[in-house]
Amino acid sequence: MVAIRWLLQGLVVLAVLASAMSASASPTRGRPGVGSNDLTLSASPSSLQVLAAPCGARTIDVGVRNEGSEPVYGDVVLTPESPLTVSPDLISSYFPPGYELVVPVSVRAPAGSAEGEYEVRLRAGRTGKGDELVIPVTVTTPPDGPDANLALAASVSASSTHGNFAACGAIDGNRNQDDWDVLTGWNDGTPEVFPDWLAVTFPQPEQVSRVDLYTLDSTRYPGSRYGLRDFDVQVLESDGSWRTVASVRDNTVGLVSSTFDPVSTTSVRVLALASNDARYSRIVELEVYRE
Amino acid sequence: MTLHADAASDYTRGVASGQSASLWRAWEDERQRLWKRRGFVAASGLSALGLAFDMLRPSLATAATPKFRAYPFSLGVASGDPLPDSVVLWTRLAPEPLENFGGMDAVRVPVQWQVAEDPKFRRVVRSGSTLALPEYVHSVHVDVRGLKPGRPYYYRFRCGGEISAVGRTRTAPAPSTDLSALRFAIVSCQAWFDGFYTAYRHLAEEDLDVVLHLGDYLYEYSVRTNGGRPGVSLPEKFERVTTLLNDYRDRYALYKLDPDIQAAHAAFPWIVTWDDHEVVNNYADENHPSMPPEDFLVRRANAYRAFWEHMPVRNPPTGPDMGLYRRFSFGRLVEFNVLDTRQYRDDQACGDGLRTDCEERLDPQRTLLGPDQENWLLDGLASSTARWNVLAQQIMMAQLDFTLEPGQAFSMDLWDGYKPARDRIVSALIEHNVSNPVVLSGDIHRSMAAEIKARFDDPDSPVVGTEFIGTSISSGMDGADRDEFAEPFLANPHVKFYNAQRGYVQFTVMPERLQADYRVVPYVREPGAQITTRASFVTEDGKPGLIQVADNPPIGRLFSAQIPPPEQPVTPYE
Repeated sequence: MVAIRWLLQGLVVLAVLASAMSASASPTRGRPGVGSNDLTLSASPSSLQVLAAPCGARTIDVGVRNEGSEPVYGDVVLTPESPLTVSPDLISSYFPPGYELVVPVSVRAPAGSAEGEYEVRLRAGRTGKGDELVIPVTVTTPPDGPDANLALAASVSASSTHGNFAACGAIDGNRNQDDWDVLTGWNDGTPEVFPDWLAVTFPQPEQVSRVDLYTLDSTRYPGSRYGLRDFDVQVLESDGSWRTVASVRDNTVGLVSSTFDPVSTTSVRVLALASNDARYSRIVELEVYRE
Repeated sequence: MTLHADAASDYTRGVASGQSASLWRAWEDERQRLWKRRGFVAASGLSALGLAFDMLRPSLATAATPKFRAYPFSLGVASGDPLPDSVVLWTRLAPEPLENFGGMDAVRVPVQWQVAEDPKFRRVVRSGSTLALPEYVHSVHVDVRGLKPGRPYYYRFRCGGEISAVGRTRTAPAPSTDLSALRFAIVSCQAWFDGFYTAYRHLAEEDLDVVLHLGDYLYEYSVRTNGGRPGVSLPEKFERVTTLLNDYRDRYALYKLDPDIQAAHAAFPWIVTWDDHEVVNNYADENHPSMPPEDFLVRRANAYRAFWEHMPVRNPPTGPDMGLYRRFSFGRLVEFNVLDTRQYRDDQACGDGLRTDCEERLDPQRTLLGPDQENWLLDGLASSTARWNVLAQQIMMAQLDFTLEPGQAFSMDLWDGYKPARDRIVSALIEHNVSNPVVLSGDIHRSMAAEIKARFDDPDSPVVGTEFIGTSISSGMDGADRDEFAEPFLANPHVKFYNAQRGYVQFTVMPERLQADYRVVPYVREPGAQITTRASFVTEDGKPGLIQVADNPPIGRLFSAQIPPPEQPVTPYE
């Protein structure tokens, strides 16, 4: 408890503060960012490689541990080197003694960023001398060449996206079905309403002739129950209309590869007409190839 | 961590005076200048008043009086938890409300406050200064004491040459008062991304003594859920599912930036409680499917702390624990028992969801309120001398069979999932002959009226109390007069009214009767809807149950089958 007496023209104005109720047993009592001095930082993996593309962000797990014997509220500020951005760029939390909070942090390099070595700096506390950590980040540009997955350089849009998911999950380079629970895929946001769609748009026109669609099909969530059943693969025409280049019906498996006559377009989309649970459209990964 | 209750209740209590004439003259001068300058005020922060308040400045190394780059009272003002001599005033300094820490540096900042009998602050009766602390993102809670009972008051804050909006509040009447009428409203469930707060705009125009918020003040989901609000672009962090303290803080800031919710807060004192979404959908004590209890309690601690930082309530949480259940009396007329049905409940029976033959829900060992709160409630009901005894809480208490099929389908998240716990309360109402029991609930995004029966499956059993279920402010989007739940819900013989639009319930309580007006708007996906009373019900003193006194024509859509069900599914974990 801190009590401050303000004497003003003979009248006492007493402001009673329990400022640091969180800090009543803390060695850093009374200072902002209370308790942050007891926080230690770690990152897994210890370095990161991100793609300079609209959906090229990658995730690193930041660990924040309270090494003290008292619970604290603390802050960790993340400062990315330009042109990187991070989300979240702040980790404020309650930390019980001995507890390690693990926060997935998304690191992004905007499309067009130069390849090279960069870093994200982390510091515990807003002031003072908290623990610091530097995460090295390697920025690469999307693959090119005849066998490149063009979706990796694309931007993405969707008819809707469930609040727990992000459309980028469909073109993040992760086709591991078992990662569905950690939201590396796309799930639309309108249950029992079809059609849904997810589209990728390239930075410049591309000639394409194959689309590999990975719909949800894991041991826990089998494709016959949760995967896309009926969908069309469409390309954007120069007049703004969508032309169907492949149609899939009654699908029950995880990977559907659709090949078609080569066509030049700026955008490819999957029009989801039905899923096997009739509720949601779910895409783990969408890949687009020249051949 | 130790936190003494008395220390907490003393938090930032300003013990103050209204006698310092020269100081207030200076304040008034400054205020006048500011009012005149507002609109092109950007440049000069401090002028005459900076001088005056330099005298006030304590020798605090960490204190500072900032020059704000932008208006710091961007989140408005609020008051709440009215007692006969006291009310809690709230604001938060956030010149850049959507930035981390509201755009504030990590320094303590003195904030002055005033309480007056008139909106022009000619009769200031209480005033003081308190420190806004960075630990609490410069939120300000002032527990003003020494006020007169049953009186309207006006309040405002000042900091760095900037003055807040003026709020209006009201103290509770003295305990012995034979009050002739109390007017209040219940509100709940305000998903920002589902629609505009049109209902709050109308609420602010009502004539009310107090507003009760029954939970789901914010939602943990991305603000882009259901398409979000049209034409609004927000930083990426608002797409995060809230888990960190800064996630919850930023989300409160976003919700409270809305001018309609600010108007509703500024117009009346609020008594707030929470439901699940202030943390995460359908959590139960330390249990949620998203993570182990050890991790979940950290998330809960973050959510509770941000809740307190943004609400006009007296006592902050201690880590993952926050005492929120409490009691408010309005003379001899009404006693509100404000409950917390989340923090202490056993995990939902039979894996949650809708269940037909769930034995676990009948286990008398299971609790919804936790033993301490349940005892506190039952003791309070037994000893109450109020004419109307209100349970202000979150989830529907009357039995609610969701299906027209044979057998009964109950939601394991509602009181139905904790049947013996409900039976214990109903038994106590009967045993102690509690005067006029009234249950208020939210959560389900529907307007309903129901009767609390001694035995719900026996139509001949007596009516023990009356339940008014308030719809959402915005959650569930536009809705319609009826949806696919209308038929099965109304097939419950004790359910007397159903509507699936957005709005609130306004109450007028008198010694001889209570009237509930179901106020609804036809849409919320676009701003500007008008509000109408869809139906009104009366409960007479000494006669539990519902008498419908108004049944007005439907407005807006008559039927929609596309309203998300009351319990939003999490994919694909259903």
